[in-house]
Amino acid sequence: MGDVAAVVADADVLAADLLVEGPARDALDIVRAHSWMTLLASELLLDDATAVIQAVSDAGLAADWREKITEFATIVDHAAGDHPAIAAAYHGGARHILTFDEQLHGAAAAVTIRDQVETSVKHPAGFVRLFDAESLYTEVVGGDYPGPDRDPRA
Amino acid sequence: MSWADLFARAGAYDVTESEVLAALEARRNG
Repeated sequence: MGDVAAVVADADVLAADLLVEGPARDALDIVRAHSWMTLLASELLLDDATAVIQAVSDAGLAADWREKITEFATIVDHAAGDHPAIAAAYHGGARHILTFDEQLHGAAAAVTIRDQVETSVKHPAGFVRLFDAESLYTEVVGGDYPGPDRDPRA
Repeated sequence: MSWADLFARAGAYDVTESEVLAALEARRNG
């Protein structure tokens, strides 16, 4: 079960993609560059990311980012009070959660998550290191991987 | 608005990963 090409980025990774670059940008560039990959999110997850972006930059940038990410991501619903990244992965069937949160990387958390969702929690750098476009393309789409098919800056 | 435009605007801020994590921690655990 689960969508091997679906990724949830927690609010820290979403904000770092915009404002810090580094591994968060590298990881989400992979998603942006492939039309057959999906970024999953929830409104509650985006609320957190928008608040973080506003806190460390400005409200205008946060609002424009929110509009862009809402257009780009597939939005799923979950109950308030759930961890937004885990809940979005659960409800959307994502196989990957990207976060800098070491608590989510912890062994106990990983087991709990796997019991509920067939997903793995990764640091964005780990996701980039392990991403195998050729084999994933063959599994998701079929045939030979043609390379990135979307402009990650569009 | 393109990602390129957003990233260009964001580049005006010198934000670190630690600041992002602290802001999220403050929001979620207040």
